[in-house]
Amino acid sequence: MKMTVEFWGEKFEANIIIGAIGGFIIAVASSLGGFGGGPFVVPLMTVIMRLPIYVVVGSSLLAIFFNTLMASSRYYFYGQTDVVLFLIMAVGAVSAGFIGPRIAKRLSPIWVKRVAVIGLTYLGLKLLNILP
Amino acid sequence: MGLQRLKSAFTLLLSFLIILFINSTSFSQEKQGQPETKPAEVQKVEVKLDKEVYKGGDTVQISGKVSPGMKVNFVEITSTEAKVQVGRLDRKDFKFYLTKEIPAFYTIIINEDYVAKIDKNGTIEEKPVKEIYAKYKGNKKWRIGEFLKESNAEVAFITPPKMVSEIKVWKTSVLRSVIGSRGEPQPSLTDKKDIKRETARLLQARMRELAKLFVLGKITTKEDGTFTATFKLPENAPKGAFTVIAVVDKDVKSDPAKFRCDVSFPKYYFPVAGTSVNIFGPFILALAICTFGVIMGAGGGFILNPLLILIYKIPHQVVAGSVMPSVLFSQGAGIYNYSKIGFISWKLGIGVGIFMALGGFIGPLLNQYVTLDEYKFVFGIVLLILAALMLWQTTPGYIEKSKKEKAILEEFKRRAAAAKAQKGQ
Repeated sequence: MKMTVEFWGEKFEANIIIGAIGGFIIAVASSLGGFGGGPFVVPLMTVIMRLPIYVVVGSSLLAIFFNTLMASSRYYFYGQTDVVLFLIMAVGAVSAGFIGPRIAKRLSPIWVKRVAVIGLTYLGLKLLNILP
Repeated sequence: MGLQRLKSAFTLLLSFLIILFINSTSFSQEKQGQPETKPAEVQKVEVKLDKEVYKGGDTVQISGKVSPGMKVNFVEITSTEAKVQVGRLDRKDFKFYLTKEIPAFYTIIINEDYVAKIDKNGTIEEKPVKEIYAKYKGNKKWRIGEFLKESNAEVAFITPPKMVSEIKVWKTSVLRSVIGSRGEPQPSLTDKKDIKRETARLLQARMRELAKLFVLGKITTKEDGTFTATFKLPENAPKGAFTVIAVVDKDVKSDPAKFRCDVSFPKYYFPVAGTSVNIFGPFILALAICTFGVIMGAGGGFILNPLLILIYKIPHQVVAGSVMPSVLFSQGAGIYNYSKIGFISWKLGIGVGIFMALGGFIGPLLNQYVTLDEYKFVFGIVLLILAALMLWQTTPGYIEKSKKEKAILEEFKRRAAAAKAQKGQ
């Protein structure tokens, strides 16, 4: 099933079924783990649904917001939200939103990503009990 | 005539009251006399602590007296005020158990020289508890029920079953989980034996490691019956009242001795997580990780969640439930900023978003069902996929492509802002 996405006078065809299934799977994993799904939803929409990046940046954020809002309220009603811990994390995250872009200007994004790859691989292997 | 009747009724009432009074006083006298008349039959255990209030990291000096010839084999320590919610999915019959009254901290100290006696169909087998402990410690899939029985520590498992008044039960299935339901509600556990057994399992689900629930320690009992033991409260011990019970065997144990654990700034007791942590620790961690997250273009949750679990040992259910909503603000702000310049396709965002909301309905339910090891496994896989995605984004082909796309993106943003400004005028 194709969905026509209109964006600034341009028309794009996107396979909404792939988008729905992909979005659903990403949302289950991300809400189970408790992280945002951004880095997965953007490639889903650009690489798999073949939409240009300028259509995706804002729209993917909107799609993820649905997941975050739903999962957060579910967690809250299940009694799994520690309000103080949440507030600490929220203040940290919002402050990071101001500090991050300022530091980012002085850094090469490619190198930041390379460092992140090493860090994420190490943490992933540690969680899988492959590394001590 | 009427007066006469009233008078007799009054005397009747008065005499009834007098009888009641005499009865009650004689009853209370009997009660008071009880310990004096029966000391020979009931073995008494006294237990004392060196202080009334401790802090996390302090050492609790436990001392007391038992009847000569006896030995204190176990000491049970429970946080009776700090309670947490714990759920557990039984994989055998697909039942989900949940209670909100599991002590946030619980430990049984077992005397390291204790020899457990197990009655095996009439023949009594003796086994040093050190051996049993070593055997269970090496086993990742240890079961608390089996350990309690084999080590005889069952006799000291006293307080938690008393604290738990209700354990809710659901009968679940894969199909039910897929639609995001906990399943068919079953009657809560009421049988004392059932509650005791399930409480032990929920405690294991909370504390996870054998070494946290059971400690081999020195409990020295001298010939005259005086005994001493020490116990170090962990740094992250919860706030509030604790009880200490010294146990000789099934029938001989002390009344609970009480103490309090104080938690003062900068340490803070997180009531849902059930642990006390220096409040600046998670804050600095969140700030640092999220800043790095913003720079690398992924949220902080990917790194933050495993670190909160690995460093602070906060249960994965609470980590997910507390970190997930913290990104709502930045996401909301982002959506607002993009929508101001008309940079969101609502059709695409809502179209995919509805299915993501469905996924977000199910994920938190599955989060309760998975054990810590399974959670780590899923998270580990997700991180490796993310690492692969990021690696791909550093390849020359991708960089070339993204440069072009970025230029288009900037061009569009500029146009969008200009159009907005024009509309505004």
